[in-house]
Amino acid sequence: MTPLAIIIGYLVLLLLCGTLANRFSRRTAKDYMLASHSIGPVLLLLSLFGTTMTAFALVGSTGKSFQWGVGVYALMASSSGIIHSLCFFLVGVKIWSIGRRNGYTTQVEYFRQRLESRNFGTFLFVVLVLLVIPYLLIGILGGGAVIHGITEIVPDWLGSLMICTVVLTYVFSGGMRGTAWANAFQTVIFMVLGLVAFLVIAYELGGGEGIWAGLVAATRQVQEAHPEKLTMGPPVFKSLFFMSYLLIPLSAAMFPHIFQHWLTARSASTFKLPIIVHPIFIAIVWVPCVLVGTWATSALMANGEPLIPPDLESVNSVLPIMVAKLSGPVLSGLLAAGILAAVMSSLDSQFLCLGTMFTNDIMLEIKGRDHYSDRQVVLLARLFIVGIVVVTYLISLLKPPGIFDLAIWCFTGFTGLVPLVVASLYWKKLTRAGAYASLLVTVGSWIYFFSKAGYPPDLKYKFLEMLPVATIFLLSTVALVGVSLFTRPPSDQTLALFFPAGKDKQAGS
Amino acid sequence: MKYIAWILICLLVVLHQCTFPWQSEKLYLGFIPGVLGYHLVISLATAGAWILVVKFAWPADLDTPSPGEGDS
Repeated sequence: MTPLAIIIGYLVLLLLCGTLANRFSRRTAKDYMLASHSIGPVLLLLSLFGTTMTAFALVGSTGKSFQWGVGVYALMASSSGIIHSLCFFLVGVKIWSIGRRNGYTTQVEYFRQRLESRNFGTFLFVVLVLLVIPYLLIGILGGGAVIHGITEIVPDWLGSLMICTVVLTYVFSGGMRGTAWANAFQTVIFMVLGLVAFLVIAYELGGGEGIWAGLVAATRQVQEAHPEKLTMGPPVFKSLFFMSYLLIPLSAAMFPHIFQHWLTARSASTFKLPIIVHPIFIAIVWVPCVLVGTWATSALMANGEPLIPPDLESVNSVLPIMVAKLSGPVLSGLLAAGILAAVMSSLDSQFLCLGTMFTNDIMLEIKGRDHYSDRQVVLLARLFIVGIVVVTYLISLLKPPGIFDLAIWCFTGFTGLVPLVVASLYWKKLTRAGAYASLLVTVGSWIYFFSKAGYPPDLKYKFLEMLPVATIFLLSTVALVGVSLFTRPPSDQTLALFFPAGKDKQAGS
Repeated sequence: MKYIAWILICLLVVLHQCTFPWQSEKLYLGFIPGVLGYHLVISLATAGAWILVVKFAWPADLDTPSPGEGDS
């Protein structure tokens, strides 16, 4: 009962956070969707980090390290540190500047004007929604599984329902401001609790002789039993495969929910702190988790039996099992709260973003911007958010097989769209036809590779010894550049909105 | 300096791809495996390189204050 009480207490705290944010609301659509562009550097850092780090950062990283060893940090974490900040700097800051100047709220709105095409925006909208929905399902199903795994009395469906209800409540009432505040709070929670779990596990693995002795003893055990987990090499780590993984974190540049977070920034300078500190935050979360996952391969119980069975099928349960076996119910409950924090800090932004897109890019586009009052726009966004939560929750009840393995395919799809956003910001000669070609090639090649990999997806599927994302990214870029060179660019009037005079050098024209 | 900052970022990407520490059997501080230590240093160096980029390659024309906006 203790873990359940802690989880419920945590969820109540979150609801209070959302309610408090609502008190600061200015009751306008701009405030509901973009927090009136008032988010400062610390809040932006925490909310961007919380949004980009899903539950995978805690449980997935531990599980993968149990399978593949410490190389998981190099594969997924240090690369994200470099690439995410690059996306924030090269794409985020520019998007913020153009978005503020031209008054955008969503990606679709931005591309519609940049390419002078309503239909392209609608096509992009469909693709983005289809890529975000599996991502949402991963969070809902993962959260339900964590609550069930740790409490053992709450069924998965009820755990998922609890999460959906809490996220819906604070997003519904607090909008972007509530989401940013809740994200910040949850980011602090999952970072602190992840570290606490790490230190307690180290202490216990060292036989209670102190944390430092535990750290040394735990790694020594791996060195003796599974030295291969402390190095990198074939069959898992090969140069081309490793290199192609570098493209996965690039997907952050095209996440619609990150786009919306960028627009909440108070000024361009607000981005400086997230750009610098994001790689350090990644290290703070990932290094302990990767070490715990690696230690789990060789940790023994007092009777000499392995702490984690080597043939464990569900590797995502490595962290909860370690915590449950090496500490008491209080830490188990706190860890569950930390994992849920990581889940919900991504879910909230995705729900809000989809609600905003349906309102802004579909309803307002059909009915006209002046058809609704500001209050009605907020109401519409709220209704869409409720609808999206209900639909995704109902889909989650079907428990689609292999949904967790879909994450890499979602990221692959978003990475295929990255040439589009980069060209739209830095290349005046990007044309509508070039953008269509890039989008169609991304969709087509994604479907081709996905069908080749089979369903549930085969994570070991490679093309030319690399992840398919490398080929998709290349084809998308070639299609975009090739077609744009032979078709007519947007009018000078439109280009002036995106490349104001005096910035021609940056535009690369 | 602007170019040096960007060269540093590119260098970090290259260093990230280097395979020489992959088989290292060293343990830093007695518990951090060599390859993990190497990539941890890359993460910290990345933050350092971004400090330089932000300081020397920040697009000044974007950095205009936003009038009428309050603090959150």
